[in-house]
Amino acid sequence: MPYLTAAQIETEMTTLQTSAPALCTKTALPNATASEGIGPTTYSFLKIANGSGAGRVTVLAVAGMHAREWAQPDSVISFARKLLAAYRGNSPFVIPAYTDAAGSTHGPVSVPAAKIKRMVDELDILLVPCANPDGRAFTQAAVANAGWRKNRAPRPAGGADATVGVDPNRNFDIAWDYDVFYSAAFAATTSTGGLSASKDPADDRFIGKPQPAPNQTHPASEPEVRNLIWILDNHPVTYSIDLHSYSMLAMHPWGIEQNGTVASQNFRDPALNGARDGTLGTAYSEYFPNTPPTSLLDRHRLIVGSIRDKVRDATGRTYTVGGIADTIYPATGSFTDFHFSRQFTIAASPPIHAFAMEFGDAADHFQPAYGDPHRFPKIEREVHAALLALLDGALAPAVSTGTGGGTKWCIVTIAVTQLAAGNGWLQTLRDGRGALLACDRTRAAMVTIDDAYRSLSASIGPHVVERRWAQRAIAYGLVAPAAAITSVALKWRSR
Amino acid sequence: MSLPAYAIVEILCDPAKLNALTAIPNLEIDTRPIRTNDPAVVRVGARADAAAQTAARALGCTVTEVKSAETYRAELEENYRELGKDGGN
Repeated sequence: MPYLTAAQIETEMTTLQTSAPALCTKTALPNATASEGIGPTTYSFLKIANGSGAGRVTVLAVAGMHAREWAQPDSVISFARKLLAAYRGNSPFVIPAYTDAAGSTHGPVSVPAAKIKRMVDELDILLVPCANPDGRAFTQAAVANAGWRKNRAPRPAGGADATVGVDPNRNFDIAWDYDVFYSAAFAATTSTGGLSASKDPADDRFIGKPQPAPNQTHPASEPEVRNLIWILDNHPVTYSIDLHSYSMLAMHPWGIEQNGTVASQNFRDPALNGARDGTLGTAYSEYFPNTPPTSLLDRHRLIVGSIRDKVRDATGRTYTVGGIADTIYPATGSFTDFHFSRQFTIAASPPIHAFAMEFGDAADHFQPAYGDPHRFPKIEREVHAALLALLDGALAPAVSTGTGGGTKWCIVTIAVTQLAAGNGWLQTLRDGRGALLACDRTRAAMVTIDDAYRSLSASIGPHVVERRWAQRAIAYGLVAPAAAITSVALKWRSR
Repeated sequence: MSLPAYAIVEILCDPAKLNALTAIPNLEIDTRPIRTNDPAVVRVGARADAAAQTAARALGCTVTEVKSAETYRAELEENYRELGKDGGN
């Protein structure tokens, strides 16, 4: 079986909508592509949800922004298919066991039917399987095009073949004009392995052409980019993940800078233009709030940690986690930073959580062999694991996440956030809770426990979050033993 | 247009050598320089033919072949053949 073409991805989305019209909606994006020698192409996104109304959390997954990265779009389509099948069948979502080349078996990873039901009932799940359809079509047209990364925006007059296209993931409105944003010294590192962006149309990190005057410093020149912004403008997305390859990384913002703790150091202050030092120094670092009750940085760390753990459970590979600028490279104009930044530029925005992944390693490369069980099927498992972990994270806000995600304190999550074993304990407790909620005999008891726990968390959460000794006491005195007992109970139940 | 005999390689390199690295014929940078624990060394993913690998080593870079040219070529051709495209082009 081959990789899907961009056109087949559209067909697959239609099929999914037809198979479950009450749960799955395909919507055409408003901006057709404007490419050289192909298109204009209109393409779509999927929404999977049971129900509607206020209070739902919206999660967005984007794949295929870079043309040559073939595995993620196919994996998102198969994820949608499996999610809908599990929901409709009241069955778990199972990532099949994977036996690696050394003979070790990992998984299977199973997300209980009760959890899948919550995901579809409580979340609006938006999927953009192929964010750069003309780029994908170009790479799939001939082997010689296999390495193409950008879209297929028309080349400048008289330009060489390499000057076709813009990197969509450098075209968003966040530090887009890096010569303005940074110090001259850091901006100059685009050619020496520092900043990953370029104003050279022949570079595969080309940020895009300046718009006609008077908007010549405006980004978002590309229809593919404006379509993603349209989604954010028209849906209250508070969780997003941008799926790329390769380098085995699970990341959170910031990409434009190292993360900092000084509130006055932020991308919004034009007085700092020309003075930001990027990764050349630490005099400037981009502010990443982490104060209670949102504890935004801790929450991002928790979720990338759970993604790493779920991926490891599925295939045995351990991805590196961290901020984009710290783990891969500093980059401007990325979707993840842009989405994250909107909570600071839009009045009364709820907290926003944004993530980016780089799936696979050099041996997997950009187009892992489709039929080789150690290539595409392995990446597909990892994409599914990451998406399931993100959806799970969106279901279980740790502390206040504003109007978009409830206003609950969760002392258990606060207590274990900094602990390496914490994600595992939390997952075990969530699985146990899900099992109790799924059983008619125990559901009422679990609801009562939930209510009591929420009441307790609301009363002591503000105190726990400021006292490390209290966090440790809860982690080791309550959470760890409860997770151990729950684990035994779940094993006994599954016999 | 046929492709050079690219292998998949990982290159550990002094950031100061990156400009020279990108100028090597038949060396295509796939993943831009990623930091390592050593601030004086970055990791680059690339496709490179044998001559390009030799040129990179001559710059002082460490080049590790992750996938041979033959294997990479075979995998690519298989993917394109399944798409109904000529794997040789």
